[in-house]
Amino acid sequence: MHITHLHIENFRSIKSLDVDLSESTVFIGPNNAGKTAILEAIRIALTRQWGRRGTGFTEYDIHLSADDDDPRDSQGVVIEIRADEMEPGEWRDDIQDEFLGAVQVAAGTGKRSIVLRLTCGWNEEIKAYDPTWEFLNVDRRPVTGEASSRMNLERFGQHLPVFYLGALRDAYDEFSGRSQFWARLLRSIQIPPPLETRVQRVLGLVNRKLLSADARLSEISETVAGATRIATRNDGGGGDLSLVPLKTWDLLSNAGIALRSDSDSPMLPLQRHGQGLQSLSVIFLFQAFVDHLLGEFHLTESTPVLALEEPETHLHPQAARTFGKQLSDLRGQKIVTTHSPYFLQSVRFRDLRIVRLSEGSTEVRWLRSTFETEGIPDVEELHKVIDSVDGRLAYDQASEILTVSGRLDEETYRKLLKCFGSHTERPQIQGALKRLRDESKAYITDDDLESLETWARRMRGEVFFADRWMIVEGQADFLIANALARALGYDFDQHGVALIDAKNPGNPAKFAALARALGIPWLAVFDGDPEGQKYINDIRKREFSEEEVQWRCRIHTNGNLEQQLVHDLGDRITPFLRELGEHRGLDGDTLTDWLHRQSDFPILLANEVTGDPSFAQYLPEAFRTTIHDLRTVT
Amino acid sequence: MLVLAGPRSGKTQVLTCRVGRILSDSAEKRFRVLALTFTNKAAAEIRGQVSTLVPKLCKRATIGTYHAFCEQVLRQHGVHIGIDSYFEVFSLNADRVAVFRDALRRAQAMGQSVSIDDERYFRRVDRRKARGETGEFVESEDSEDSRVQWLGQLYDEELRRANALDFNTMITETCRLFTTYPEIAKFYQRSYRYWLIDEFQDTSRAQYKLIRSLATHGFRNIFAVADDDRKVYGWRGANLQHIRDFELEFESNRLQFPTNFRCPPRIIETANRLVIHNTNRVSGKRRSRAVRLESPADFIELLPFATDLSESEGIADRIMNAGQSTWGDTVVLARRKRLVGSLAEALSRRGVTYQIIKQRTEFLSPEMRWVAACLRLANRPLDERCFVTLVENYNAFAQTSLDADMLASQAKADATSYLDVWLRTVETYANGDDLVKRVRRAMEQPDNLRAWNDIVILFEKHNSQPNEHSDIDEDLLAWKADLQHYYGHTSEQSIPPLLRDIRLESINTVTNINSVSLEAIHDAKDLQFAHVYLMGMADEELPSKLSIRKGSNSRELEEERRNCFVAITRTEKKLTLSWAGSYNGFPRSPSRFLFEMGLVR
Repeated sequence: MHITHLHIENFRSIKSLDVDLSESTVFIGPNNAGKTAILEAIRIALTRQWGRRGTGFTEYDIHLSADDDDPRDSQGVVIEIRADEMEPGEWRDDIQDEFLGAVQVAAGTGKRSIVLRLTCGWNEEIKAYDPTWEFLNVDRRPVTGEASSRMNLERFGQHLPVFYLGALRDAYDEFSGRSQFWARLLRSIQIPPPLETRVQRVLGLVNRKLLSADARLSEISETVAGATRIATRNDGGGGDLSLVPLKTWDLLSNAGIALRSDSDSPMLPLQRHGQGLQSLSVIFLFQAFVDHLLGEFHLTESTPVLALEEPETHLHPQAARTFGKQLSDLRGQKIVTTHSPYFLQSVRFRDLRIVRLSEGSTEVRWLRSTFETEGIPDVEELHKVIDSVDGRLAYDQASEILTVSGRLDEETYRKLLKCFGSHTERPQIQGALKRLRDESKAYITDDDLESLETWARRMRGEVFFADRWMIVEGQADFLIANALARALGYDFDQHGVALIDAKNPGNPAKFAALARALGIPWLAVFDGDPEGQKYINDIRKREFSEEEVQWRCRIHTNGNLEQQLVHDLGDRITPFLRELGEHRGLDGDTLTDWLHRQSDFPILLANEVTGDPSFAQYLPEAFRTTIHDLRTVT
Repeated sequence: MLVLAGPRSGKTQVLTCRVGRILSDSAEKRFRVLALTFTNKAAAEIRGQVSTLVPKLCKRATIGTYHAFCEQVLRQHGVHIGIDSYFEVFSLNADRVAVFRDALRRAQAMGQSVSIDDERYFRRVDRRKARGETGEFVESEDSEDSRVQWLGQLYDEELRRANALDFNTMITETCRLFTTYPEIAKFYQRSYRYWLIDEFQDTSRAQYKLIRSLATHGFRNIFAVADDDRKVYGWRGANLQHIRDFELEFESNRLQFPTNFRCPPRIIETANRLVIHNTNRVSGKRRSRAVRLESPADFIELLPFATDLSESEGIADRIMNAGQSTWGDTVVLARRKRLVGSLAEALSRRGVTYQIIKQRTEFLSPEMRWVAACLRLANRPLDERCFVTLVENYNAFAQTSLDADMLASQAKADATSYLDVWLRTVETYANGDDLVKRVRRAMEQPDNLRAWNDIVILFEKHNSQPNEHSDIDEDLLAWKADLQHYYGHTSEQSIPPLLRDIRLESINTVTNINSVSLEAIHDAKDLQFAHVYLMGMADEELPSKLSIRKGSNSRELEEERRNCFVAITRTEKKLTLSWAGSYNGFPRSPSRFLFEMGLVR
């Protein structure tokens, strides 16, 4: 069992949010976009004191639309945690046995699910935020009967215990006698009594030997012992200076990890190692805890939910990448936030969640494989259409939700429309179906993703951190556009623009589709030649509207990049040619072909415009207008 | 497995032990056991026994009535067949008849050929349902029959409009759910690995269909206990056919258990002599055998009287003379409620305390009926019928004369809630009245149970002379028991579950140890008594006139015979059978059953 869906309302920066979770989900996004709020929501919903007051919600946890809103007037926080079976029969039967009254069954597939909802609003009577936990029915109303008991809710928390590792992981704290994993691990260690007796004898002996090694120690010991005589007025009292721990527990509670970085280095306590290693050790400590003690503190069959903030902290790129790969080996469900493109390189596209603030509220985008719409009434013809498309459509009569796997093609869409030709609510239904069709256009096939994964692995995790994309063909375009933007006062890094030379890693159309699916605004500049036209056509085929294609895809009007440059630069090109060692006076196609092979040429131009921003006016107009439009593109 | 057993042979104990055994054999497992019973009382009894046997495991046993089980199923999954999960349960006949009336009115208004006179069909509609005959309208040869079918549909539609279900509908709808979505039946099979069915002989056709629909995919793990000589609930559509069907369809093994432990041998013998006249028994069933030794106090007494009046007086005298200490262990049974009533009068004239035992699903006192209506209305503000109940009951105890219809139309005009209009009106009459103030407070926070309880507490305070027989006292006890039951089960202090508990957990009469129990044969049926009086043992009383008219081999007559059998076998020591030479002035001869038992020649 793992959390498959999360719904949050009015919580911190989140007004209303729906996001699917996989067994290993990675959230990225700028600071303050709401990543931590998402993790915290899960933690609060699953671990706070069930059904008791004072859960720690404060007025600062309530989402406000405007500064002067009173949090007490808010609709209140809603957090819904949903766990679905991925396949019918996936869950062990004892999960169902335990939560019998709360488990819902999808009609048709028989897949089971449980939805837990936490609501918390201002209670005027007790002058506090008052939380309620409840399981929900298919119709989203609280279930009744024994399943709603507090004990059942608590048991649910036991099945999905949340372990939260914040961004600031201090190895000193985490490996102390007070930490959530280490202390429990140590306390669970059992030492056979004979050994315990012997250890104590040995420790006592060592202590006495040490005391007698230097006369000053025994004197100090004698002086201190005087204190007990005064305090207890008891001649029998005494004291000893303990130079070593005297009990096994003392010994163990001071247990620490000593490591050496390579075979020649000395063993050093963990706390003496670098921050990166310390931070990483804490995460592996979690794994040790799950492996050995989960069953003892929770249930053997529990799914630990690890909420992990910035696991890459203090790690160098390769280590971050390696750790990213290992993350999936950790037992349980992982929900991670990261700022590291290196970490991201080993994350599957579909596990990626992009978090951003939009109109004052947190929004999450990801590459969905299914799309759904509600408000589709049950009519007979609908089932015929569903039966005719090989399982690509699914319908749940109870919630009136229609789900499509992949894209809703035009033909099926038309068929669906026909089902409701004479229905009284036809306009609303048509609207819903149209939205479904349009949304599902964002679908990206697994094949597409696979070809992009290679590229993402190789280098470009960082593009997902960008606010907008500019897509160009090759490296020459990249160099020139990048320098040009700076010269025009719109530094790409500063403004969160990722410049993507899309020709090498694959077809630019795939990037356009990716940008749409992730809600990243984009513009593109292509060569004005047959190849450039082909790219634009490919984009068109991805069901972008003609209007959008016209607006987003620009071309060099005078041919390919070199032709355009030759045209734009005119005589000003001569110094560059000279610098490149060309004295023959090439012109026309021969010149552009020759330039095409000169990888230094774009570098020279980039340097030139960097040194002299006014040179920008001689560079291709398509670049200049695109850079200008990037500021406002949506 | 089908266990066939005679009365008092410990069938229920077998069932209880089996539940305990299954649970203790699987102590580390979490699957559940489902036990279906006919009455809440039986469910509570089994639950109590199981929790004594396996105190830590009894949570894994779901023990309840068919209705309680269906209610839970429909609240959880009914939405798949379009049932709102917060449906209301109409358990009162009055409610149901009112729904039927509404259905007729609506159909009439739409120009259909019905009239309010069609109300007389209600019982037939209901019976048809109990047989589980629902579903699409089928043109029938018999025009009357098609009409009943059609009226049934109107009734169902009206129920759905009111977002309500009655007991029969709950069963048929659950059956429909399991049939339409076998995966949901499968879902329950996964968790309920063992099913146990109490009093299988009482199963109605609809209930049997329900079990079959739940047992999809070849589920066979069913353990039913039955006694075909104790079929009391004939009017519910129960049919011996089920026992035979069960054995065929579930290829069940049969275990016979003919020994009766509690009943004196002579009475068992007599009962056997009676029931042997029933041809419709499961073939091959052995006769009940008594294992108790004869003791001198065990005997059957026959008391003929001249008239029904002298019968009541005579029996009352005997009971009075037996002394107060015997009253708590004495029950008087009669087929007709009228006889019970006249005996009750005779007893009260002699200062003998008594209680009339009946199954209840609603409060009795206007005060508590009013509280229940308030609660329900706070929960379902648009329930007009509930509003009428509220106003009328308040009128009854507060001596007001508010007009529910008028208030309702006022609420509609003001676009405010019924409850609000009523409360504002009452406040103008009785502003400052403590009760009204408390209602206002409760209404402002309808989910706060404590606020509602404050109202009830007020009744308790004003009820200065507690009296064991007053309706309000009984209701207050029931309310407290319910509150306790409820707090023990859920964490939230919101109202809806409580409301349902009040409706479905029948409000159990608290037995008083110094009172004689009076029962009509059909009502509560399971307790044993040291002394059993069975009155009205005359033809056309028991058996009834109708059953006699149907012929000596009729189902109806056999039903009567079984009722008589059940009544007799509730005896622990002494049985008194009485009859009169005339009832209501009509001459009557001693019951044929007396002859069959060989008591009268």
